[in-house]
Amino acid sequence: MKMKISAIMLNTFREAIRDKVFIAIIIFSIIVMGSARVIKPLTLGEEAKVIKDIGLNSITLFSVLIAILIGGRLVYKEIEKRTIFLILSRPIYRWQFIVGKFFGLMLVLFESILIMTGIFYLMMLVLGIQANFYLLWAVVLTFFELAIVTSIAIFFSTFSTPITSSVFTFALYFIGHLTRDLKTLAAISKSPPATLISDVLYYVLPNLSNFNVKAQVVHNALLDYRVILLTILYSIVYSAFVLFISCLIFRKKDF
Amino acid sequence: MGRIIYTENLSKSYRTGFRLQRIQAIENLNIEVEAQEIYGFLGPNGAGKTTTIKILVGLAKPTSGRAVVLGKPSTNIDVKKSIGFLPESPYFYEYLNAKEYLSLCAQVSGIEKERQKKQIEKMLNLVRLERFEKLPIKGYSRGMLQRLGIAQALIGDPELVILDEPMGGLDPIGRREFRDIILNLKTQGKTVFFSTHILADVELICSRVGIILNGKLISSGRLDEILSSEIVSFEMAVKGLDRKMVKVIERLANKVIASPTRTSSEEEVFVEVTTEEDVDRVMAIIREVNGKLLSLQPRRKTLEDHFMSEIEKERLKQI
Ligand SMILES: Nc1ncnc2c1ncn2[C@@H]1O[C@H](COP(=O)(O)OP(=O)(O)OP(=O)(O)O)[C@@H](O)[C@H]1O
Ligand SMILES: [Mg+2]
Repeated sequence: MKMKISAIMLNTFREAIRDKVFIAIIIFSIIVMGSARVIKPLTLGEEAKVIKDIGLNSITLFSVLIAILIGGRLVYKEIEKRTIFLILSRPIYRWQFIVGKFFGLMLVLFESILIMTGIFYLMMLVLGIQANFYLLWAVVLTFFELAIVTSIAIFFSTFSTPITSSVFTFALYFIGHLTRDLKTLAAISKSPPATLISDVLYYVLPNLSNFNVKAQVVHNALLDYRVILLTILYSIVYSAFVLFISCLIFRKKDF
Repeated sequence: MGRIIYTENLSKSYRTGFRLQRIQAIENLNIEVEAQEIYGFLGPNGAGKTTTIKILVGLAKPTSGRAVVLGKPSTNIDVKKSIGFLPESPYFYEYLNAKEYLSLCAQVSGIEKERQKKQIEKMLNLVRLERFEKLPIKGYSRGMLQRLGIAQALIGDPELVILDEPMGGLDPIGRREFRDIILNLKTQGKTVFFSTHILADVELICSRVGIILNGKLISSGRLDEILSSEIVSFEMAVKGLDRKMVKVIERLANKVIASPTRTSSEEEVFVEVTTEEDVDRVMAIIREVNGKLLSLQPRRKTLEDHFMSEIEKERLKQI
């Protein structure tokens, strides 16, 4: 059983790293991080912080792009190109296919983050900026945020076209960073239906603001490790749930 | 084991288009395939062959009725380990090469690690792709893709092989090799179920055929019983007939082919008649005019005759 999931996972990984989109994004991220140098003379004294900020934000932005663009067509492409016939006619459960796809893309994202973080640290070294490993917390949380983004992209990809999936995933990612405000909205609102709706949305929509600790780590502010642990747990539970729903949809499908 | 495949009133309808029109792809289909049989599943375009096969391998679910394969419902996962499947014009991961692809198939099929390498080599040899095993599938010709398709279907020694138009894209050599592969499977005690348009291939290798039209099975049976040794007509080649005699023969034959530019009675005339009596009559005419019988050949019923007449019968019924 493990062999089957890992076969799908490794195949997904292999496909992605041989994909032009992936290579283009990685190259682009290197260019953006490298160009942070140009800003150096403009910012008096604060340059280290700005460069760290640009670096960490690039890592997040470009890995989210990979998750959305590749994730959005992960399942759809297999159906459209009919490569899926020769997988699902074999002794493999449909959920194993979905889970394999998920971990395959997570592996791609892990590698992308590793490359980009390596370049980020290398750049700090070259520019003589004092780097610390505290910054890595931002990267770790980005990775767990990506688990949610990937699961959502796969969810859409099981029933809609790549463009639709990517747009919806991006929209949810964007909204996910505002979800926290819904709670406040619910508290302020006096009308019960409005409270109910914002409450429901608060629990259904992904809540992604906790994954962003970039400002804290750049300014060396203290992190609450309990919150971090809960955030990681949230990522696992939320993405598992979305994958579960995707599997239910996928199980019913005719090819 | 007796019945390897059987379906009970298997039906499948699709809803398509803006107004969700219902298309009945197959309707109350009952097919049976016995162990160690080579079953030819025939039918014109759009008859429902691919739909039936997709249900048999668990890619689609029936709207009603059921399909049982190797004693289990066709959606059962464990049973798929014993089924090899080749879809209609198969598509593969183009960024892999044949070896990588077959390795993926072996893993997903749950073939034990130790057996995988041997199996992959054996399959590449079988379909003669060993020279191209490192070439990305992107660079394969249509026939090479079909060969790879056959290789992936047979990996892991499946008990039952289900093939949707396996001869597509193969050249005459490839088709011959493929027929040999199929016949070889039979001697190994495997069961083969395949759909095709190429009736000549069916005649050569199948032991049983089913004909499907508009989603319904209109005829099925053992090939030797269908074809029996019934003689459907006699073909004669005749020489030395003048124009008048040709006209006479035309009245009693089903078909007379004489070149329209015929200048002398020495040229050959082709005559097809249905009964032995007619043969005698033609012979009498020839003797009368001192003509010559060059050849006389009884023509036995071919699968094509059967196929065409069954489909014709069905069309007449509908009017
Ligand atoms: N996914 C689908 N959606 C809608 N209609 C479909 C679908 N698949 C098949 N059909 C319809 O079902 C009918 C049977 O199609 P099927 O592909 O089974 O035919 P076939 O016998 O394999 O034909 P061919 O010899 O051309 O391959 C056709 O009328 C087809 O239009
Ligand atoms: Mg077909």
